[in-house]
Amino acid sequence: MSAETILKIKDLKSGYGKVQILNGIDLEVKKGQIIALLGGNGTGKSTLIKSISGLIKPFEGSIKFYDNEISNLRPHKIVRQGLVQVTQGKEVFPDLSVEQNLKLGAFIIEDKKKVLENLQFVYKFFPILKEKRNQNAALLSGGQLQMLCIGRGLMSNPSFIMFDEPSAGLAPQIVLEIFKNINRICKSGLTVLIIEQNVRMALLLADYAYIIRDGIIHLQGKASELVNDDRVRLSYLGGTVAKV
Amino acid sequence: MSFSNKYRINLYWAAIIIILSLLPFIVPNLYQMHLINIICINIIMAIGLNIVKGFAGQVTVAHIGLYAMGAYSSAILSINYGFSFWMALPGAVIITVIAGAIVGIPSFRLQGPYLALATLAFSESLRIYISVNTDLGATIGISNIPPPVIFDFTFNDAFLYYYIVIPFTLISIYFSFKILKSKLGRAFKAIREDQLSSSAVGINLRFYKTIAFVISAVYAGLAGSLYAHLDPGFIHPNNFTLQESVLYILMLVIGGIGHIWGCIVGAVFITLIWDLTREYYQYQLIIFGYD
Repeated sequence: MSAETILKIKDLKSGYGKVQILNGIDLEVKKGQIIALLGGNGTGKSTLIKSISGLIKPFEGSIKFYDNEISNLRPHKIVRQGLVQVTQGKEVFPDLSVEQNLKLGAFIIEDKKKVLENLQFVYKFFPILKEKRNQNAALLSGGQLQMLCIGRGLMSNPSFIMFDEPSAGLAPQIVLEIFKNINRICKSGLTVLIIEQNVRMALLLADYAYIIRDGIIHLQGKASELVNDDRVRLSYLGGTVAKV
Repeated sequence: MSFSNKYRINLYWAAIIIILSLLPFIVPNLYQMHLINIICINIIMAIGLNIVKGFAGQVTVAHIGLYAMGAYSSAILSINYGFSFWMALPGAVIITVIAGAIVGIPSFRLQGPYLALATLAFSESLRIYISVNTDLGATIGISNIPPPVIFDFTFNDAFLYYYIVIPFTLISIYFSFKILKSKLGRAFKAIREDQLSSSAVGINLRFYKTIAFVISAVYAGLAGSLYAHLDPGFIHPNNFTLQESVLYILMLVIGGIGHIWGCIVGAVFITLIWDLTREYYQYQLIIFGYD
């Protein structure tokens, strides 16, 4: 199991304006894995993936995607390298139809045939989007919006996709469905990084997990081991530690 | 089916062009013809503004400044440097495009009302600069701007000038539709809808915003140049005040921001209303809602 490392972050410091949020993060993602990035509110999870996707500029440190340094690139260039972020808060283009939204996801692909292929792929993945393809995106439900965001992310043939809290504000049943879909995405050959507040679910889904606290990596390890880690159980999973 | 459909659309266009080209023979007097020319120029202005404001969603008040830029550069080029209309027009468009690209720079960081204020600063300071600079005619304005000439034929009255204005208007409308349907148009709409998502799908925000401003500058420069050479060939800084700027925004709002046909209807409607209410000059403030 020595898969290729595709994303390597070293001593990343980042934040908004003058406020530093990340105080030196080291992180590694191997090909084909699902990585979970966990932690409470305001610990810097979103800051981290915004720094990776270029939406905010890191103060210092390096982010290497395959062999390219991407910490200085603007977001549209990073997307072209195959690294896509599915933004938090279900940000779609509200006044455009579902299909137009998806096609915009493939903005960087010039080949029209390839765009249609990807569109069929996404429709196979999320049949509900095909049903609603001529509706305005503003009319979709929360779960459908999340599917649209994920579908739009898949349209540009990424090799690495990051989800920023895909379960936020959704009913538990739909959360389960979204997570199943993320699992399927990973099975189709993509590498996934997922931010979650729903720690239990995320640990069940992921291969490897990082827990952020105060802008540094607090804990890391295989997801299956972290589920049974006392510190994780106490802080994030609730319940007490059984005395042995 | 699709062939006959296409054929029918072409037929419509042919009919429209024939009617438009016969218009000078129907219109009874010179003033009304002059008004039609102004309407055409306003249509070019409105659909140009629509590209940056309606398609790309960038709130700009600089369009009137770019219009002034086009008119004054065209006038200066033809009076001081002896350019013919056919040389002065592309020259004016190029100068306006450069200005347009610069005006677009604040849109990288500013949005909504802040961008409007930044662009307002451009158009107002340009107007004030013109009105104090004697080389640009100051408050006397520039007069005797030569009309267009083809071989020995001079387009020196509104009836003849119409045949210069109308092809440019039709071409402008045509390209506006082309842009809307192209990749450029899709990028503009995405930027209008959500900037964060746009950059997340790989749209270069700075590049496409600049392009939107540049394209609208082409329209403004063209309209300005056409306005400058329109009989009687006179331009004055008062033609390019904030009030005119509000009028152009009004054309868009009335027609429906983002709709090309709407802009055209709005331009015709507002120009006519503006002309009809000229006698009641003191009430125009109420009618158009500016001060």
